[in-house]
Amino acid sequence: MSIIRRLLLREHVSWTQLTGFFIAGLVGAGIVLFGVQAWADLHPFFSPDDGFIKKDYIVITKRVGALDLLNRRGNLFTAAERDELARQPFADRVGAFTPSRFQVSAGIQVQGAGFTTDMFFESVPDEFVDARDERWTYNPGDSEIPIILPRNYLNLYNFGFARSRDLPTISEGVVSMLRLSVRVTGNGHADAFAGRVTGFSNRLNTILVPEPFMAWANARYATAPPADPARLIIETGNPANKEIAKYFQQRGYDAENDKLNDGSVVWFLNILTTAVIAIGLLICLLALYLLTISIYLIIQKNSDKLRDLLLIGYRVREIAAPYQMLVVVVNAIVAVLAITAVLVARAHYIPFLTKIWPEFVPATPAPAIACSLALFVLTCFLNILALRLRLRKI
Amino acid sequence: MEQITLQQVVPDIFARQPPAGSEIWGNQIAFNKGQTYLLQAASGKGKTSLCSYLHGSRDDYAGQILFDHRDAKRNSPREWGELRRTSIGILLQGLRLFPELSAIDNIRLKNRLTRHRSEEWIRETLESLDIADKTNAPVAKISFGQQQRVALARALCQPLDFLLLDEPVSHLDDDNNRRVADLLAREATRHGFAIIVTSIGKHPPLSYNQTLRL
Repeated sequence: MSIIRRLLLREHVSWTQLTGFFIAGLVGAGIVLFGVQAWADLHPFFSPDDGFIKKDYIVITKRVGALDLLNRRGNLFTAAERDELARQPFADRVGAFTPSRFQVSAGIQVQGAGFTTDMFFESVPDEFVDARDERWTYNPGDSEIPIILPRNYLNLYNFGFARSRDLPTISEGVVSMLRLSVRVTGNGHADAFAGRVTGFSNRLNTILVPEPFMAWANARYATAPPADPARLIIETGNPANKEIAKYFQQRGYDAENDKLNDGSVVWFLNILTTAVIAIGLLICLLALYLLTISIYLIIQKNSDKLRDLLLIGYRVREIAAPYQMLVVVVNAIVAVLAITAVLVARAHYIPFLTKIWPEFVPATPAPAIACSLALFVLTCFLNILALRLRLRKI
Repeated sequence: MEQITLQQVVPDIFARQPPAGSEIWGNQIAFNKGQTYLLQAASGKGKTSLCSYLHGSRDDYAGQILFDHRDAKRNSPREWGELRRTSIGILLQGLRLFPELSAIDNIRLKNRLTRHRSEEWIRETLESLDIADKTNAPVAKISFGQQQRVALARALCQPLDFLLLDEPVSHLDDDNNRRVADLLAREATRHGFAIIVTSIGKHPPLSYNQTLRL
């Protein structure tokens, strides 16, 4: 230890005060880093679209009332209603669900045994489909139809049915390998197709086929004339916009999935993490204050010595050096321990989250590390600034 | 720096009633590099004030102190720091040593700043001042006379144009007084700096170029 460090630090550093700063700093930094990291980990999960501009989608229907039994057109969206909706400022784009107007049955054959069920298809314009890839095309005459299923169908089976019956769970990959035998009949035609599940949608709660197939098949197999859509999909920048809920309520529209709530979940998550980070920052600030006061006290106790050092030619920079070293070392230890604590906590919550949400993809720990670095630089800078200002007054 | 000039300098405390018969206060006096001066006075005549003015720790005076041709009051804290490292040394009456450090560490503390002396010079100097046996003793545990010699060795650990000694030998016996004088004479001859000694009676036996009454 250099003579000046020994002179200025050894006898006058209050270890209780330093410990106080240390604990406060650690708790504060830990909370901030945890908040930042948890936000980074969870946020993408609540907002599925990872574009620069977050988009969200709302699927709406008209409320089905008792009288609608008599009036079958009552819960369809007319062209005028669709236009009006499209003109609303919150609606970036509006798309319609086109239902199949022909009979569909689909079956699976596994080692000779099999089953068949009646079903239906729907289509939406491609830009609303979240799970499409290069297989998501159909040209009239193709014998294979790409199909997208709602992810929650699979979840319902895996986490509900399979679990209750001790059946094996099925991965998305396995489902994609199955070939469905699809039979389409109507208007005097009956054709067989191969159905292949190409994806699972979080957004669209229906059995989806490409729009070109639907247009072609409705033209070929349907006998009834085209009807207005019963469901619309709306792309919006902010599903939590209060105007949307108000508009829907006035017109008796129901948001089908919980997108509106998802918006509030994101909002809630943001508020929660902001609050957590704010509390952490407040504690950090108090810790910073504590360390500054503690150093001021040391300087106060050492003021005669500091004056004598100036008298024999020491510069403020040189007498500040031991205190700066103390600040940097203590802050560095706090930063390292805080980031370690967050990484340990994360190692515990990541497996838990992965267990309840199989598709959960954690973020990298970079946000917490960057944040701890920034906190370290900021606290050192503020401490050293306060220190220099105080020493100039000696 | 070659010259320190005092022009009608009067400490504020004497503003109403300047000490009668002072050859310094209210007069024009020049101290030149390479010369040796003895300033004699009874207590309370402003010896320590003068040293503080020349060393920049106080500026409560009227008149002007010129370092070469520059008004000392215009020095910034940074410039005073520079002067204290490279030009003006001082041995204060109160010594201002750090009691918890050993004798040699007190000297090193200054020398590490200036890198002016070798470790060997420091040890030889402690030897020549007859305090080699106190090298590692905490300053708090040695006598005031011994502390005066440590402070002197410390004051010599820098390049000097002027060395101010405020009653440097007040607590020394004649033998040690001579040791101090020998060291000062040797260093002043070798490095060519001026020595300004204040005294209320006892002072190192040097060949003074000028003796002034404060």
